[in-house]
Amino acid sequence: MTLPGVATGRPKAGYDVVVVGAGVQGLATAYELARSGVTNVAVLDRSWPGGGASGRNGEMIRSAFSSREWAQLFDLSLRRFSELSAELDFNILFSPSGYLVLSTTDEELRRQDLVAAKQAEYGVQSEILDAAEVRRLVPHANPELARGGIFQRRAGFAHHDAVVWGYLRAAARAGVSVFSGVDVHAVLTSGGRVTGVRTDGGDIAADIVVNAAGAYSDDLNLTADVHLPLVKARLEMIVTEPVKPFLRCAVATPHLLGYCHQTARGEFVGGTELPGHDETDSLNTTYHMLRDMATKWVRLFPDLGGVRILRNWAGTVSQAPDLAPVLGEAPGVSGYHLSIAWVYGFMGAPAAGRLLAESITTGRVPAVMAPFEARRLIEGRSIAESTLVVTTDGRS
Amino acid sequence: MCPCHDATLFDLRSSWEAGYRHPETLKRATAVFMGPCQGKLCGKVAGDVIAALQGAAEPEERRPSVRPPLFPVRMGDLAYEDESKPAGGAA
Repeated sequence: MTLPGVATGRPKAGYDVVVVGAGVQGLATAYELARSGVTNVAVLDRSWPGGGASGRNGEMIRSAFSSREWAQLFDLSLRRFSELSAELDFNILFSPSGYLVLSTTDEELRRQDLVAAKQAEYGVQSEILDAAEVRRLVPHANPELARGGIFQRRAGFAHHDAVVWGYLRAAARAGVSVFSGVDVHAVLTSGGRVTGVRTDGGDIAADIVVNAAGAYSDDLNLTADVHLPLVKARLEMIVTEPVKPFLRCAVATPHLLGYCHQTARGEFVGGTELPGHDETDSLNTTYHMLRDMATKWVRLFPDLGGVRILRNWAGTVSQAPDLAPVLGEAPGVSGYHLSIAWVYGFMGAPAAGRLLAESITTGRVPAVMAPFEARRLIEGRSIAESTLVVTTDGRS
Repeated sequence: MCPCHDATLFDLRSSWEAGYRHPETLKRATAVFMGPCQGKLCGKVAGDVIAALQGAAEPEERRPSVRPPLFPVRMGDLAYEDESKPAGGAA
């Protein structure tokens, strides 16, 4: 056992559903399946649950995106985050203390009215802030960079480990078996249907297999002859020593390619990115990203210059060209479902788990989930979302 | 046990009893290894406690990774002076 809720002993020879990956996607999906009455479910992970990107991300949560697809998916997630502590009977430390997407350039300032108008059309409530309003909200921010923004008041952040642990415990209580230390080598198929998985401890039969393997989801797809244009990418973050509260809301800065918040314990936590992606599955950190983060955060919050960095870590994801997740049944393999290509996976998991479980149990794809089907990547269709803090095409 | 985060022997034992039975999950449950000392004060003692709970001389698993920088470093000392300079090297 590695965490409360993890099963002891070895998996059975077969289950109704096998989920590969005990990260937040796999556990949320398993929990929602059990809630719908499908309890003969195994979640398999080679390591401890939440050891990958689920426990390495920026913890931030919003639904104020510029596209209808992202806004609707993530608004369901945001609503779920606000009810999860009570529902899972586990405090996930959800802080609805607001989420600010900063505007820095003239172009960003010009666009923010348009983006907020679209959000209103999608039913996502957000506020347009001018320079003075941003200054009141984040008084420590450099006014040259904090010239405006879009603020979503009911968004915020939660504790990523607690969300994993809460889903894990609740899934286990509902009858799901979560195994740590079981390495899945391949998805087994026959005649265009999934039949189970091959593990280091033998084959496990299942009519439904869910790929929630995070950075390794593309490797798993290849074993089932599912070919999608995904790439691995490494992201890095830092955490500082605790300081007195100075930043109440979560902040994203597309101009600096950065995202940050201050934890309840007082630590400043943030990550930055460079244009393009670092295609590796190494979890080592790099000196140039450490300096990139220090440079950008001191520039945005000059007072942080005297605050000490305690740790720098990395996490890996597998991402699609449009940076949107892939949700739903894999093309050509009946019964093989995907919850992969997550870059904003922590904030999307509560919605994705519910929608994927619904599509598995009813056989119908919910409308909010439909745009994220894998086929879009094969047919070259992109979901255009303009407020992400990440690029793949070399522009920032 | 952990002067940085005030984790006590009781915290470690009770988290272990609750099921956090791996150095990586015990770290996340109690915050040992995660304070300003980065495990320099608590690492050896935590390892001994884990070994004792496992009934062994040494813990079965290695201690969690030590993250860089090895000592707390002021952000201003790592920042490039020229703000327009991008970080060096390919991403």
